[in-house]
Amino acid sequence: MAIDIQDIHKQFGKVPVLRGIDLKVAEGELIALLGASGSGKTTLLRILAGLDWPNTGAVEVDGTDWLSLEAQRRGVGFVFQHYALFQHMSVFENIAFGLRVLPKDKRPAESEIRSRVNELIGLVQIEGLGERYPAQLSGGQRQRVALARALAIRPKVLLLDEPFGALDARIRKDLRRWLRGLHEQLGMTTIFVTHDQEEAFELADRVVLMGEGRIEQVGTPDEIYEHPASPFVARFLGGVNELPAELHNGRVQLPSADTSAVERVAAGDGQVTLFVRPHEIELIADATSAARISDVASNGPSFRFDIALPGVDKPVEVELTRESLRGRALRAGDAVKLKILRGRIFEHAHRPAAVATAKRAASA
Amino acid sequence: MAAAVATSFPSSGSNGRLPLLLILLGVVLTALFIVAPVVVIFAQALSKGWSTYVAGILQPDTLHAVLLTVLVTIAVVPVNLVFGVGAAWLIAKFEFPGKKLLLTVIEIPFSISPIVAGVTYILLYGGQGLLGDFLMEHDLQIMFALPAIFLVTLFVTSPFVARELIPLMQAQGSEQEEAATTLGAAGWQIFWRVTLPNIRWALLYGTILCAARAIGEFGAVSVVSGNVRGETNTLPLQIELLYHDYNAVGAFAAASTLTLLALLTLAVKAWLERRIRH
Repeated sequence: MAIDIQDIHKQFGKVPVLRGIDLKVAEGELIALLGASGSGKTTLLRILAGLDWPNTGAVEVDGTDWLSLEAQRRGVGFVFQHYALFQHMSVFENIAFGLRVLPKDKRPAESEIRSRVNELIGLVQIEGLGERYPAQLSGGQRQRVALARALAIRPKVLLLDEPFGALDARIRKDLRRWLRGLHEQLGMTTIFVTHDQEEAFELADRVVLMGEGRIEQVGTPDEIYEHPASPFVARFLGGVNELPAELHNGRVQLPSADTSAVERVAAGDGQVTLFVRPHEIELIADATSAARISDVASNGPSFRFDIALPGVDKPVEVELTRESLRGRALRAGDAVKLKILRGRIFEHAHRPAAVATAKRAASA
Repeated sequence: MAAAVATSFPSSGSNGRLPLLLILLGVVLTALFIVAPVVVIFAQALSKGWSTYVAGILQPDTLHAVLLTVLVTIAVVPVNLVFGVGAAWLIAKFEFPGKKLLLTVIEIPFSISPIVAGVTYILLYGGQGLLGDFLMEHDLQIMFALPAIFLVTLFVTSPFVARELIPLMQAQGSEQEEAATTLGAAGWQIFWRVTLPNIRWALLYGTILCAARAIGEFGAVSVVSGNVRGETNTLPLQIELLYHDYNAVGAFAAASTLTLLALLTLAVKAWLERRIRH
């Protein structure tokens, strides 16, 4: 089902939680709502499920008004962060719940309920656990039961709130791949909430990055990683150097650094901030440079250098692979020149400077 | 060597004795204040033999008192059960203005002396009371009759079920109910299939406490019942009456039935507590 979210605003008391959310989700898409806690992502998910209502705004699903529909009638599969399994029911009865509460004329016969539940138990790979109670299951098993229970009603949309949040790291990775496979198999529109960037990038077709009740950027994982739309997004993705630089004739200039490889931008001259990731910098030994290596550390496959740059408070982090360093000696105290391979320029107005159209056409 | 041992266990002597002393104190106090009275009740009731004891219980006024107490309890408990579940559900699962006030109101019967509650009912429903004229006109007898006993018992026991459920339901939150909602369950289905099973043991526990209190209520009932023998005397009142009549065996025989009811309640409560922990 295609979902069209239009200008949703939501306040809890006087605290604004969502401040104008617009988002279109296509049929069969797998979407991640990514953000820190308090960004409003869970509230948006609950609004889609019918567990919360916005103050203003609209949600249309396949062209019909979704907000006037009660949660019971939306046919949404919702997986709660802490699963919310019915503690007093067996796994089998948990999964069967959505079928048993159907009105008599729509309720399948007992034999059909049994076969459908058993089918779901097979789908989520918890065979043999049907008679257990939630308290007797591991976290990963509970997660699968919660998913099977949500799928039992044949939902048109699947919503998952921090689906892997309560699991330990190893199980999380396995379950992530498995869920991706399941989505490809079932093909239903799926939206999940996460604060984990890796999870969002690995799993989702498109990532919706949220901050303080607004959508900061929507795009494929590649688009967001390569072209963060704002300093907020660039910072959220983490591990980035923020270098104060000068823009002159569309070219960024930084003392002790070669910035000729950075794309030209169409913006007026002035102060800008250059966002560069540690692996987007090359180091060149240069005795005349004012930049010095202040620290070197290895994490195995690569080395991390801290570079003291005059005029920059924090050391610039540079990451070089062990392979690229073979035959070169770079030690703490050495003078080096920085070659910036890629970077994103943001004016101090905190909006990205538009990349010059000519340059973009050339690179495309 | 001896000195070394003494320093490594500096106070083993006094430490070993203190817990023992406290346990002994507990046992003595329990025997004195709890076991002894119960023993005395049965000893006194049976002091003139079994036949006198049985006759004491089967005395029509006493038998009527037992029936009246059971009747009042049977009438009061379901009302408080419904009220308790409703109030707890409202307080635990919803946010609304005046929630703190409602919580306080529910606890008023705990903090008011039952005698005061009884007197309040007289001032309201009695012949000279606020509603006295209205009740007279419509020929409604509330005071010194069954309705008054029912009403004050209801008042005194009303917090028990709600107080038992509120903390539990608050701790459980609403997630399971929300899950049921997204799965298509209607309001009443959610209540019967999800909410009620989750609180069933605490509900039973609260109901038993409520019943125990309803059976034993003396103060409020004594003010409003009018103490008519064989008519408005509940079991606790009957016991007092028999005692004042110098009918010690009859009084203790009646008291023993009340004690048995209490012991039975305790046994069920203990059994339930074990179930809740599992």
